[in-house]
Amino acid sequence: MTPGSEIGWGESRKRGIFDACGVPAIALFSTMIGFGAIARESGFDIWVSFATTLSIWGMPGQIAFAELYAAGGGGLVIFTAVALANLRMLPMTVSGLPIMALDQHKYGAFRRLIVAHLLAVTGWAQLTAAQTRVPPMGILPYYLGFVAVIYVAALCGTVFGYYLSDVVPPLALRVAIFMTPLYLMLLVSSARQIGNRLAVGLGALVGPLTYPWLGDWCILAAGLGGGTVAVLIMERVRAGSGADKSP
Amino acid sequence: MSEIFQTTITDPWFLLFLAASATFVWRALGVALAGRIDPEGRVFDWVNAVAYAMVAGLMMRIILFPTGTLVDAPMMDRMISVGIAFAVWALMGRALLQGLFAGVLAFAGFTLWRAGHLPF
Repeated sequence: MTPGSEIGWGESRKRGIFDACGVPAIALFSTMIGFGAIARESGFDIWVSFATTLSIWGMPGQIAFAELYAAGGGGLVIFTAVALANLRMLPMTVSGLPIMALDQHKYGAFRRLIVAHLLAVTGWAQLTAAQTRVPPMGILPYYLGFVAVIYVAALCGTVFGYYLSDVVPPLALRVAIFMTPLYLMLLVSSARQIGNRLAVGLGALVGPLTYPWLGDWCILAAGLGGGTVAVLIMERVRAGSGADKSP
Repeated sequence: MSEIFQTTITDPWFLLFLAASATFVWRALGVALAGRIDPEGRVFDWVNAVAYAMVAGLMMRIILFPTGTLVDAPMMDRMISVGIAFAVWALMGRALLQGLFAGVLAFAGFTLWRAGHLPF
């Protein structure tokens, strides 16, 4: 037995809470300030803004929702754009849940859905770190402690951002609002796989270029068009380099 | 189903219900598929690429064709600030925080300068 492998539920959860207090909580709090400010500008009241963070819990989708609402987008464009913006929840859930040993913890469907709802990019990325911090059976309580802290930090940030325009001058608010799309742009550009970075570059071109014709449907053109072309290019490159190596 | 989408309902709670559902379906599908399919497979390569391209397209649309207070900042200021952010990000080896800091600082500088708060 490795040292610490006997630590229980409470101790694992405590470590998760401890690891979240610091950079992760500050990062979520700050980015959600941007969302709160954008939400108010879009015409949401405080309750809708709060409920958006609570029920979507994924920054790109939340921004898509607020921006398209402000632009007068209908239900179809909002549904489709949010679905595409938060599409990455699917691969994250598929790869993240097995790490938490939900079968051994005897988690039923309802609790699994709650675990999945709390999963977003920060918590998902932390699962890798969790494997070195706690024994396998401790990853679930570690994760629950971790996401509880960042979820609360994000909700506080949303409320603070909503009321930001009451406490800072309009110019400072403008800078805060500029920060959020720039942050997300840099975040997706820092993707690990080169194919995804290529997709980012293509999407960044297709979106604004098709906006004058397509309006907010340009986002879908950017996603489906840019993403598909990036995958096709990568397959060509891979096939090409494979052919070079074969005799 | 199509009536729901085509109605001109603009109630934010109804639209939030649609937006939250659009997110929750992926998580629920993930619960159903977890442990059964390979998250490194080809389908997910495509899914990820579409998600990345879509977010990039939306963020560039917000920066270049904003709807709110960013409209008051000239297009040139927004473009140069993004350019500076990416230059720093690239030069420092995809350093996210440094790039963000440089871009925001540049935009804040432009904003203050346009408002006449800088001595030049």
